[in-house]
Amino acid sequence: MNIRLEKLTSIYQENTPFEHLALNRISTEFEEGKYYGIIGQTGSGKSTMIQNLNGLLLPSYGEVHVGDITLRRRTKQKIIHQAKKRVGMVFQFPEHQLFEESVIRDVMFGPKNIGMGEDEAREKAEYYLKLLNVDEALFDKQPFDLSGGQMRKVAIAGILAMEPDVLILDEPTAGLDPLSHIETMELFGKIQKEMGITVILITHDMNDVYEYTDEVKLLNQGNLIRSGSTKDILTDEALLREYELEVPDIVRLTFDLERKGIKFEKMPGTKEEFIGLYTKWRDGHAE
Amino acid sequence: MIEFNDVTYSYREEDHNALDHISLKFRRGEWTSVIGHNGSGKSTLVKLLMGVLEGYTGEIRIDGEVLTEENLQDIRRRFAIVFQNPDNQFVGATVEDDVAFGLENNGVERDEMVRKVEEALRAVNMLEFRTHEPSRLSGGQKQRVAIAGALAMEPDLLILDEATSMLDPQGRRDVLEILGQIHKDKMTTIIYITHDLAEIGVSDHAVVMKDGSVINEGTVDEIYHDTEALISSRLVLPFTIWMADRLLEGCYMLYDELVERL
Repeated sequence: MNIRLEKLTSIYQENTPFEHLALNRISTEFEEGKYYGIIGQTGSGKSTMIQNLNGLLLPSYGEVHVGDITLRRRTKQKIIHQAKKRVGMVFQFPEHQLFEESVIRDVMFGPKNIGMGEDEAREKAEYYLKLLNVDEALFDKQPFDLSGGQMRKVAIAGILAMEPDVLILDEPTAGLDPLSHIETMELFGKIQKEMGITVILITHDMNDVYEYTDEVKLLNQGNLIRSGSTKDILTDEALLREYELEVPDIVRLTFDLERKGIKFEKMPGTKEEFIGLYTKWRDGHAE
Repeated sequence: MIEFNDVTYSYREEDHNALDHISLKFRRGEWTSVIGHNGSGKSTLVKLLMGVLEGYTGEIRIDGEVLTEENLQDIRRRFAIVFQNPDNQFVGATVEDDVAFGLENNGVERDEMVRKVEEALRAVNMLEFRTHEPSRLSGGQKQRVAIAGALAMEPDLLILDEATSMLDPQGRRDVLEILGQIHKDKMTTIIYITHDLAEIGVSDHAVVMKDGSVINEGTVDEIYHDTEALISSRLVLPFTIWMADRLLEGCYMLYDELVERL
């Protein structure tokens, strides 16, 4: 299932002195099975854009096509609900949204809410908890007895158990310590590969965007500036500088070393790959 | 200025000590960073200092005076703290009202208040948002307003409890730069709690915590040198240090030096 935006325009507090154009005639597409990064400064419209993808916000003007569902200015709740089924959203600190008396009931809540029966919901819940390596011994425990990392997995399992076609991650690592940050990003990488679903990541961390995503959409003041492959956009130093975004660490170091005369066969995608390519060059140029 | 002498604390529901015989000094006029993973005890340290938790053993001294129930209120008034998530800290209807709140409570005269609020908001790069509603700001913007509120009080001690962890990279840099400037200009004593090793570069002194204990302490250079202690503390090495550790037999250097030596 693809998501297609057609001249999506979003205006906050329209017709008041506080009127603010958050998104300006955005037309673009999210293709099935790809991992997207949405980047841009604070206030560029990233959050507004993703809230329009599952009906949390409706377009002021223009349309959002979620598969064969169309969301417009006055779309009815019933239709919005269908979009919500297909587009799952993981907010910051998803573990804060746990509330049921047991882990398994918590994960079952979402699937039941979209109309699955008890047995099917339980089956899905168990499957996704196991996929995320949550120990079966914990299924009947209270969610609040778990560690922070496990609680996060339970919350994410709750979204996956609804089997959305698209998973949206809104700054999923904000506020996490660096080790949990890495674990969380690895987890989403694994989910994306194993389930083959579309993932849309909003983050300020250009290293994560570089390492995990296939495609990037760059927003600035409500306008879509660029849409294309991660490799093209995140290695465009001038573009990133123009929009005050960080150059990923690996890209920056590679360019800086190339300016010194060191040759890399290709742009490394990860730190380990950088080490490999650099060591190879160095060994070939031993003094 | 602040001394922890053999302080031990455990939460009622847990069988291990959240702080385990901690002895530490925070010196006046210094920027001390406390680094540790989640659950290392760094936030418990702050809570004891702010008098939020009771029932610890050992003593905490502020300027030589032992912290007690009686003097707690007076001492706390001289501290300002900024938390990780400022959402629950907002009281004003507008950004400037919010920053003015503490000053108003202290009976600061209007003209002076306006000036201080403006100065604090300018310091955090939020002056243009002065008439905005705090609840409508982004997470990063909210946090900058919370920092302005703390700065406006001109405290003896400014505590930042993972205060930048929810900011975007630019916001984080801005805040660190602003804090560095304030620290330099006003000699404000800063306790900077973080789990991010990349953020301790500006500190005069740094403390590494793990499982309720202090496992390393010293200058930033000294801390960065001991990469093994950092990794065993479940901390993640910043990019430059990681690269230097792998390719140049591990030593602490700034990015430019890394580029030069590779």
